[in-house]
Amino acid sequence: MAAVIEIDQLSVTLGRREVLHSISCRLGASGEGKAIGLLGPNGAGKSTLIQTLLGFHQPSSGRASILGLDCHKQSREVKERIGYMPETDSFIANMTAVAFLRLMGEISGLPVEAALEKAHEVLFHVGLGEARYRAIGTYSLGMKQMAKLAQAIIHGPELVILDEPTNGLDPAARKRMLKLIREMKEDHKMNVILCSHLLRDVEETCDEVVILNEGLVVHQCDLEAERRMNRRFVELEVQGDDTRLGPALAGLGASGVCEGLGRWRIVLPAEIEIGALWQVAAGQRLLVRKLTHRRDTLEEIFLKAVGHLRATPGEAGTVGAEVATHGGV
Amino acid sequence: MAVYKRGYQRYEGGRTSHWNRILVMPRFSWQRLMGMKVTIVVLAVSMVWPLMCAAFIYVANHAELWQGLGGGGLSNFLSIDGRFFEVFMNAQAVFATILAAIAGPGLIAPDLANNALPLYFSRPLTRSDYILSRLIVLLGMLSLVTLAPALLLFVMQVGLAGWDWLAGHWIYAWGVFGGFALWIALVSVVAMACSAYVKWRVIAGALVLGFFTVLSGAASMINAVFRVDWGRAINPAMAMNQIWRTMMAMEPLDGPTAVECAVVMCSMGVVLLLALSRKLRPVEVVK
Amino acid sequence: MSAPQIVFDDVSKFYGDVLGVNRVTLNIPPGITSLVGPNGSGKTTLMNLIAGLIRPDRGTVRVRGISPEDPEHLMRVLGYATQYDAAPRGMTGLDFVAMALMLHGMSESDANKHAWQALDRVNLTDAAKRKVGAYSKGMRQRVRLAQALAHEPDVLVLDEPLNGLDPLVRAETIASFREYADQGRHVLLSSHVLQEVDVFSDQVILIANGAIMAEGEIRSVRDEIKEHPSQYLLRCRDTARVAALLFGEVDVNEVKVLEDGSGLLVMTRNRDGLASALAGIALSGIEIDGVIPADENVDALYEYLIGGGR
Repeated sequence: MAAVIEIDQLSVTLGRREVLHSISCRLGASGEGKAIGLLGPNGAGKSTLIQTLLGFHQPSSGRASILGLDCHKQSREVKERIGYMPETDSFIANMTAVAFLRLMGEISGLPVEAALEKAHEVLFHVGLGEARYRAIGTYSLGMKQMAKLAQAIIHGPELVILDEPTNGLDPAARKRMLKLIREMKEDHKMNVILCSHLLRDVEETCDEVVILNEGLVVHQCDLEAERRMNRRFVELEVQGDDTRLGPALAGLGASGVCEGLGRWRIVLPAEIEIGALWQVAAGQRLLVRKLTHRRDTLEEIFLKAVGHLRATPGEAGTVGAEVATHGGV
Repeated sequence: MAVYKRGYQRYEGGRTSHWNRILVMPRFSWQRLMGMKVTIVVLAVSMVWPLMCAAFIYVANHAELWQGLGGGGLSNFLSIDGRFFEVFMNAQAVFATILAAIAGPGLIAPDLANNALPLYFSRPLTRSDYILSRLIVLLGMLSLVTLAPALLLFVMQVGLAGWDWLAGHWIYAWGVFGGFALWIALVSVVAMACSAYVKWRVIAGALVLGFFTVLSGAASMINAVFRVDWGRAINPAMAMNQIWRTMMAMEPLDGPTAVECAVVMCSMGVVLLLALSRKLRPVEVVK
Repeated sequence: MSAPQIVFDDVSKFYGDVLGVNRVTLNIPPGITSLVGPNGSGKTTLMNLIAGLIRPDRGTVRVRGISPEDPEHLMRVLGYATQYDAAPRGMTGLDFVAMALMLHGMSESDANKHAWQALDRVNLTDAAKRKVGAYSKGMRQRVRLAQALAHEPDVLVLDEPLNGLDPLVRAETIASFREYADQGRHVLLSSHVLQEVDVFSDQVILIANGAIMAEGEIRSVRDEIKEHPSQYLLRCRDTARVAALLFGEVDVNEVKVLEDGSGLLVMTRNRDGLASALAGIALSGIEIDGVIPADENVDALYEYLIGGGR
């Protein structure tokens, strides 16, 4: 199956600095309607990579291609099939939303009548229905972000690149944005590249993740596969006096780390069933408030990939390993 | 009864051609400009002089009617020659500049003000396409006050004086249409460059007008201070005038020749285009 | 003697017709307090009131006993980092922080020393000598933070301090807040990322439309919302049997079988009862694979009190 994005020993130099050092990867190989998360610390080269995919920069060596078309040499064909939502504020202040979307649609190649129809359709879809005859300059930040998303999808692209789409959005707007992104890939079968610092957003919407650091690809993983949970790792929260829970778990052959406030991270050996945990808890006169299975969260995968973590708590025999997480995801 | 599920459906139709897409922005801009009252007023006022010229052509072609009034002297005055067209062009050139000062600022500044360029360039539109589209807006509008009235005058003249007149005086057609083309090209490039570098509409408009007036003042100053006469070459109005005169095979004025003027004007245009092109990068690269 | 508090007593602030906050009463104890709410709800107004940048139209504000109308005293114990990304471009990071300290009356050498410490706290020491104009967004965020805490204030007020930071820096910054707050200080910050707020905050304040919707420790806030029964997600295979047993043993309001058949969604007002019932069911041999409280978090609180909005 042809990958959506193929990057082959791509190097990009900006000014005098080489920002991307001969990176290679294949993204979206598993089919259409997939979301790919692009992560990395600031300065890792994510924006440069996106801009190279869009044809804004010329590779100094190697090539990048989208849907089989070279991003630099066949730039026009590529741009007919993709949509882009930039991170920074981007709009034309004195146009109404409908006029703006019509303009963007027609430049993308939609015929005049289709552009008008789609402009209205997509504005309703993103929730700007009531405000669509107002000038974009009068919109709030959340509305401008939605307008940016609308112009990215009006021409029905096969791949949409979203750069920090939830930036500055309040919780309600963020939920709506993530819902729209999920609909884009599930209902409309568009492929999505999501570039974000909020790992939680990426975890909720993406199927694959690629992590960049200092101009190199340091990790690529398939979240779907990671999510087929290994049931050996458990998060437990109990109410009551849990001081003797640790030894009790050890008695089972399991190992548990207490995080305070009744929260425990436990690794169960293969032979032990969950029922045994309930028994231990009951034996200690503890009420179970929460019980979940967890594999590495995306945060731990990320921190390990960029070198801040020797090993994730889920890896064999490393329950007590140093974890630099405090914020959590 | 039937229940329809309608919502956003992904567009899956065909795409328009490349040329169609280049004309998209001009269509939007023209619609906007024609909705502005000041544009209509300037267009109307700029028709006054051509109307007077048309009257002049009528009178000149019916000189026998006035024979009684002034005799031979009058028919010398009433001839349709290079001088007539030169005066016509100078007047219309002024209106073209004013129109450019009105239409120009709103072209590029709004795109730069809120960083809309990445939205354009992530679509099948190159930088040259973008500049060409914006140029077409101005060329179209300015043709309305220059080439269109010129065409009318020629049609009228040919109608009254016959095709033979045109066969003998084709050089005037060459001078008028060619000359106007050069002028509106220059003015358009100036207006676009001003729009790209200056955010506020009024200031950008003033800058367009200022470009010509300041250069004209500078030219006179240079001539006066250094006691030379090549200062004329950097005065766009005078330089163009010289070029027009040469195109219409008229006696050139003192000072730099048409070729020298043309070179200077062309280089100005090229410099402005390069400056414009620099401003239109989708992404700023910080060194 | 109880811990020093930040106290708002029936405070209102309007900007002409525009609403800032309307009759706000708060008692904020030391620790990390997160201010959560939609844009335009009054978060920045509250912060400006604490810092004394604006005066309330009615009511009084006291910050650890000091009134904001006394900036001489207040500014010695308060540090404020706004959300606005403005800094003098020509200065280096070190000068920027040191200058603020010198304004506090420190000598130049002292100021430099403390500035280094502050920059060290935010991990910006290697870029300290570079001009602020050359900083990335995350670095500018951190240098503003350094400036706010350079003089070791007892009250740190931060408007969206984690905005635009990559995950590494987020985690480090949150850790430094924790360290700071553990010394008995106030750290008041605003954030839109509710899942993070959940994990690191001691208290949370939900604000909408200029009024306080809820405040306090997240758990106890949830306890007080009686209109909504608690929701739990149970993962089990034998959904029908577990559901029947639950209905029998404890007063549940609602049990919903999840669409994919992987478990149940249970709503109950008796949480302890549910927990014991589940223990009983699990011990009797029926497998209960997961128990996830669906709404004891800021996200659910936000949803209930402020709503999904439009």
